[in-house]
Amino acid sequence: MLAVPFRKPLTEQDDLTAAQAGDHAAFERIVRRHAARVHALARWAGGGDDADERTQDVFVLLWRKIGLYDGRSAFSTWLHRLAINEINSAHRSNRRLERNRDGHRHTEPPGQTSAADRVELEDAITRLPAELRQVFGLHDVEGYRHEEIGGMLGIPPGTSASRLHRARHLLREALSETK
Amino acid sequence: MKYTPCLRANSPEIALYVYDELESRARDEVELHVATCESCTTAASELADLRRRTETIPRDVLSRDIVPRVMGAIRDARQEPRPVSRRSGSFPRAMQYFAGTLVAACIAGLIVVRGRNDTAPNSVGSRSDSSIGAPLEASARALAAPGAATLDRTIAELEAAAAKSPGDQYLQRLIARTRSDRAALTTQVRVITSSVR
Repeated sequence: MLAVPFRKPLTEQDDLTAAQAGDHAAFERIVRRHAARVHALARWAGGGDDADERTQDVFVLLWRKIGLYDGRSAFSTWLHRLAINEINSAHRSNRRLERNRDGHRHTEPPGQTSAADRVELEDAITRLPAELRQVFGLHDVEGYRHEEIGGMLGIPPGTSASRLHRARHLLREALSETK
Repeated sequence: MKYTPCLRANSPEIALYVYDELESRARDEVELHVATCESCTTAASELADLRRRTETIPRDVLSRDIVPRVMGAIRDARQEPRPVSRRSGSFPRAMQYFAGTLVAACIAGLIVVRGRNDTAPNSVGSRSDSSIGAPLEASARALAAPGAATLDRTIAELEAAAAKSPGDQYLQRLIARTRSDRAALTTQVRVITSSVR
């Protein structure tokens, strides 16, 4: 029988080992695999407008720190913690900068009522505490399940569910007050 | 929001009902309650409004160029000198000291070896000629001393940084390279001093 050369597909562990040794192609595969979730985290944990920039910062940091990953936890869990820390620290410094500027606010775009409704909601979302905003955005906007959000934020799924309930309650109150 | 006399109005089950997250039996039960309770009807309608508005927010879209951008940023970061730690900024200067010391030590070594070769055929006693050897030995040690001290400091600094980042392979490589440079310097000084003697 003719032997067909068989190449074992590369696993995440193969890519991690290669990336830790400085392999760019392996690192690029890791970026492709995790970019969507890191970007969603950057959108909801950070400011939102600069999610691309935050995502880029997270992966540059990952490139520098990938040697520290020792396999004791799942790589995605480790990466998401790294991402959350980086995004939160960037978000804190951005907020400090914003406080130092003049009282700049987003202006409501003119036009349809639905656009105004959305702006009102987005404004209410930005005023939510960060931990509630993250869960609300990831669940109700992005469609992640509580188990996935728990993995991304390092919290139990039940905590994610209770934060979501609290976020919805606060948003409902905020929107009904503006009516 | 109006005052809600019904405790169920703020309970998760009304939200779960509005967001279609209840099983059919529980859903029927909540639906029946909402139909007969004014405060729960208000709560359900406000939550439905929140849900409708939330659906107008676009889901996150990953830019097509995000991966090339990330890889470009990493390539750019590689071309810059890679920061080892906040405290290790003196490393390039240490290398300059070391290189200078090594070159000086090599020159001194060459002078001594040539001196030995020149004097050896004439007289055995010239080996112990301290009028030439001692100053050269002293100057080799003096030249090597600042470089050695700087390298020792650098090793200590790198080891402190490595203790904070245990898995950092780049730091480990730097430590190994610096230790090897330090050993080379020691060997060089030993060669010079032994050849002078």
